[in-house]
Amino acid sequence: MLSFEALAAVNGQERARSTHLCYTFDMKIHIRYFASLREITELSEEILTVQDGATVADVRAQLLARFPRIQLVMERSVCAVNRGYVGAETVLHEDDELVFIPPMGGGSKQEK
Amino acid sequence: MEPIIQLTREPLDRNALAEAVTQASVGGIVIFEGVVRDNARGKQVRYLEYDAYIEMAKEQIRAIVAEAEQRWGVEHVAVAHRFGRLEIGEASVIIVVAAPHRAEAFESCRYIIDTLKTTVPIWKKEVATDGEEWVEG
Repeated sequence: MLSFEALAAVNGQERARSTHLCYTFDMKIHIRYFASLREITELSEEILTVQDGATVADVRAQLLARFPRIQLVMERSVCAVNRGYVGAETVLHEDDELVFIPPMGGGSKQEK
Repeated sequence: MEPIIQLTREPLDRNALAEAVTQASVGGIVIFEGVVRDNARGKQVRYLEYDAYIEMAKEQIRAIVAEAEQRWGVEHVAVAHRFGRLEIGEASVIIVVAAPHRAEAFESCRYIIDTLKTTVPIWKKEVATDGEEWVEG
C-alpha cells in the first residue's frame, strides 16, 4: 500500500503532466545543417519537436546543449527561417525550416 | 529577360552562359569567372569543396540580380555557381552581365559578385596539404 507521501508525489506528477497537456503544445520544425555545422553534428537535417512559441534563440540553446562543439561556429552564425534571414528573437511556427548559417567565405575581397 | 540562375555540381559552361544573355540590343558583355587557386594564406590547396543551401541561395541570387537590374538598368544577367568538389583551375562561379554600354555592365557585375560572396549561403572548404578548413570571409 502506498504511503501518504508517495500518493502525494503521484498526484503531483499527474498534476504536472496534465498542466503540461493543458497549457503547452509541441510543434515540429525542420532543421537543416550545412558546412561546418553539418560536419560537427554529422546531420544534414532533422525534425525537431519544440514548444509552441519557441524562438530561434531557444532552438539555438537546445542545439548548443546537444552539440557543445558547435559553440564557436554558432557564435559567428546567422539564421534563416523559411529561406529568409531573421533575428534570434524570431518566433517559430509549425513546419518552419530553420537553418543556422555559418560564416560564408567563398572568396575574399581583402585577400591580397 | 528573366535572369539565368544555376547552382550545379557539373562544370560551368562560360560560353553557353554568355550566349544565353546576348541579344541584339547588347553593346557590352562583362564576364566574371572565379576559379580555384592552388594556394591560400600560405597554404598549398589540393582542392575545394563547396556546400550550398540551394533553395535559399537561388532566392538570394535572384534578389541581388533584381537589385542590379533596378540600379543599373541591366536586363540580361546569368549567374552560375558550382558546388561539390572542385579541382585547381576549375570555375566555381561565373557571372555574365550584358548591357547596352560597358559602364553599367562592369559596375553591376562587380556588385553582383561582391554581394553574392557576403549574403548567399554557399560555403567553401579548403583542403590543403596540411589539413582542411571551412573558410570564413
